[in-house]
Amino acid sequence: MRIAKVIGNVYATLKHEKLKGIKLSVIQPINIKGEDAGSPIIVADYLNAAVGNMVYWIEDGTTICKIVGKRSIPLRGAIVGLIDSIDMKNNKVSLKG
Amino acid sequence: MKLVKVIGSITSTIKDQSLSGFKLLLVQSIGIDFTEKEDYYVAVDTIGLGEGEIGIICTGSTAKYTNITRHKNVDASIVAKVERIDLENYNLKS
Repeated sequence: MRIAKVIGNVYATLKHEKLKGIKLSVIQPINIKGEDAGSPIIVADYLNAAVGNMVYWIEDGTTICKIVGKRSIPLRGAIVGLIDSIDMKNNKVSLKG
Repeated sequence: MKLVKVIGSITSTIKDQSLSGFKLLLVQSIGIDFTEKEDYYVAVDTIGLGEGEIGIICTGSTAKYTNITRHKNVDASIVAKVERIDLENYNLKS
């Protein structure tokens, strides 16, 4: 899993049949200081994360198929958890989601 | 398999049902000489590591093949604690 911050939602009316009913969110990968790292990615969101939430997401296709309950789906990335806080004693930082 | 250093622990209330009960750690990818890289993972701890310790993570669908993560929705799990790496020219201790 990787950490990221939700920065928006995607609305798509015309999409692949298997993607129907799935909420899509735009996430921004972040580093441990909370700064942006890399470019934003579109992932599926089953937990209804709000914009601004810190989340962790999986990028493994096999696991995503299991979550969705389909044998195959054209989807890469799904949010699996919302982060309340990350405690880092050695770095003396505590990130709040 | 990647060499990583544990840098933090993650608290999370709302998560995928299959992830409940797991200890989630924030790990940072490191090089063979323990130099830190800008590459972070959230991994399930299967052996019990603490902050600052060096371990090995397994990413992708193979992360599901440990005893406690079987049939769970994970794609990164810590599978070993590194004590020593012996290389031909130099040896490093964690």
